[in-house]
Amino acid sequence: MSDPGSISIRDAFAGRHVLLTGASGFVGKVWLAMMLERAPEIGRIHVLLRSKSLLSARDRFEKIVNTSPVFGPLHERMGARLSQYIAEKVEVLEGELGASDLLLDVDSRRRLQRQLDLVVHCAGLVDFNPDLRKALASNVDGTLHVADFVEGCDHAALLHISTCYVAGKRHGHIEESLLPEYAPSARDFDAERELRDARAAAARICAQHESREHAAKTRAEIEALVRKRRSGDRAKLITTLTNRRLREELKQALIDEGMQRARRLGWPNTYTYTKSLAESLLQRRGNRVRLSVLRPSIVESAIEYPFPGWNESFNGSAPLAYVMGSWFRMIPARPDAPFDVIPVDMVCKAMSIAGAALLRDRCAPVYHIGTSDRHRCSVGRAAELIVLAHRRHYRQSGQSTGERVLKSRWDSVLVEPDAAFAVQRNRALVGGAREVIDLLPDKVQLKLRRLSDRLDRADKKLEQIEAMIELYLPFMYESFHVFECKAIGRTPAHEPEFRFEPEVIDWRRYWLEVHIPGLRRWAFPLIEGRKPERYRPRHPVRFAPVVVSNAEVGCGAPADLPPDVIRVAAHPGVSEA
Amino acid sequence: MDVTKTAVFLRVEGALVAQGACFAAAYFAANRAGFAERALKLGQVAVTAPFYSLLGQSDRVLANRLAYLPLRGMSEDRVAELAEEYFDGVLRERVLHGGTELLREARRTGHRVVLICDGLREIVEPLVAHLRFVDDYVCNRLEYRDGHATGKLLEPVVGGHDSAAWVRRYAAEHRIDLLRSVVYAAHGPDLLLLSAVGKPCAVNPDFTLRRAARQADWPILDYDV
Repeated sequence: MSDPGSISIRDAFAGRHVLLTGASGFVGKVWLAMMLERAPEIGRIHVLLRSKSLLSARDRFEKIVNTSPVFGPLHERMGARLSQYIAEKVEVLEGELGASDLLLDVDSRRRLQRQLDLVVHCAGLVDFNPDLRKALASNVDGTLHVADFVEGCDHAALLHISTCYVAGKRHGHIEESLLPEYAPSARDFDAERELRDARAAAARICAQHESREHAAKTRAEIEALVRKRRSGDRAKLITTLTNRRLREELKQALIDEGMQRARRLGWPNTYTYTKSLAESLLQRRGNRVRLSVLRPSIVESAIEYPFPGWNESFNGSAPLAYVMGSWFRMIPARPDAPFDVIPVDMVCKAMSIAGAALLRDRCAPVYHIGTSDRHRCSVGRAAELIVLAHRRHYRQSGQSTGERVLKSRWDSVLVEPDAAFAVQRNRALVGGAREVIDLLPDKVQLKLRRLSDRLDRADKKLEQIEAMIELYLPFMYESFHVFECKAIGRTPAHEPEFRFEPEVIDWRRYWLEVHIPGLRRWAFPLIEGRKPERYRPRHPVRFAPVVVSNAEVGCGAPADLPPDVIRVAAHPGVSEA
Repeated sequence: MDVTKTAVFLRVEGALVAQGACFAAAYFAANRAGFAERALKLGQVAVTAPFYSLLGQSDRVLANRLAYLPLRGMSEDRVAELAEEYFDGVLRERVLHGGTELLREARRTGHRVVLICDGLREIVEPLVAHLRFVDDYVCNRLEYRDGHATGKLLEPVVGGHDSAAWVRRYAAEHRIDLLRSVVYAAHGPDLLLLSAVGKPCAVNPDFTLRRAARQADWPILDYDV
């Protein structure tokens, strides 16, 4: 017998219209595929995508559906019928969250505002340290524009996807609540003022770096450098190098500004700072927006949907796991701290539950979606399991004897940040060796060229590891978070395939057989700059612009929809070329 | 009608595999996480090894307790993974053909096949899965606290004279006729175990057991170790 307080996801979404942002992202894609496969009663999902390079939103969506392994199960199940199904269930809208009107034309906007029941806002910049301008535009302005749009809707609610780590540098039990004007280390924090100041700071940095004086000074420096190293005047090279350096300096200055602001206020990075800012500003809207904030912790490989191990996030544990599989062994971390990872499909199930609760007016203001409260895995255990997974991989599939015999036993260990062989000391050693070579006579230096090249490469790698460790230290060493995860349990899903049950995760099996092999297959290639495998369906979905009449737009379609409106629809029955 | 069954009890060490608890402990010690830890625990194994050999003839329970002490502090995850590794990389190739044949024959003749093993549960499980025709087994279990081994074995510790009592209890629970049942064992301390059944058989026996088996007129089987 089902729980009397349970909620049927299929019933709640039946016939409903949902707008989804961030459908090209890790979480958005899985949720879209999951809803299409497991809740076919849904009215329609309107996917807001921006065009990119030469690809229109429609082409991008087509590419996503036809190449991403996420849609594999749907392809396998529906075959040639998928085009027809997607035509019925998905509308792709070209838009831009950075624009206040989302770049939707007036008619589409009005139609959507009448039709929509729910807006799921997944879009955002998930880099830990992006440039401040981009982070503000994506994570704050984008969210506010979506909220503006929802305010204009007849009856739509907003499910905003944020992160547990908006809590910042706080310790202990973190409740599921939306604190007004929240900043972990600041009193009398005013989110509006902070946003203004941050924008002004970003504008000031841009003005400084884009000034003529700065450009002239940089050019002079580059000219001097080029002349010193090469003979003759190379105007084109100088211009290219100057522009590159100006761009890099501007980007770095904006990254630094974001990180400084975040850390001053008590957040570990620009991502959590801008996400929290957006939450505070959303909360200011009070009852004008029916809102739930869903905060996943570290989103990791799927446990079962679309298939075990699916992952394309390289902001979670992927870089850390990657480093732990290298020759570098010393990872600064606090073994007893919770390492709150949650499989992406569990996050998507929780999104469906929270969305259904919003549709049924049974929602909570905030949902924490993590494991630290209900089924904890510590940093120490996670690290041990990562090491054991690498060990198993190298032992069974090592490319060389060195990998099978030595690397498989080269286990990483957790240390204090100031340990004897911590990354900074390794770098100092490499730097020292480099300096010694520089002091040698030129003839000897020439002979040692291969060694010095190796040292340079090692230093570069260590520098990357050092930067990565700096980004991860707040999560693995400096904080001890336990994110309360109760709200989602108050409206359990009626359907087993939507149940949120982190307690069922067998951590050993998850890390050894699902997550790390998943990262190895899908995320490590991204870190290494390689392309991961792509899915090739037997019957690719093909889109064609279709002129639709008002009647075809479906339930809730406005009567005044112009007959020549072009809506993107799948063209059914197109087989593989 | 009161139908009783028969069983073959086989002491794994010596009769089915040549490697004992000390060898396994050394493997675990050599594969701990830190290099210093590895050296330290290997040293500990080296110190306990002679005691293990000496105690092996008199007090196998204490010998086993000593052998697994170096696993103290090792995570349950690592023990499980290393056990699988140890079975795959070391033990699988060293399962004695003669022992496997004994078990196969026992199964063919309708006996219940039961293993008695000094090894850890994590090692015995893949062994049992590999053999496929084992009905039951008893082995040693490590004590874990907060996901880490304490280095102690949980009671009852397998290996000592209590094995005979265990066999009798097992027989009572499963309605097994001990007079028609068989025990295969290889070491002196297994004398009581062998005496518990009607058909004892010494397999690759050590000096003590060989002499006792001859005196008692028990069959002796020797196959390549």
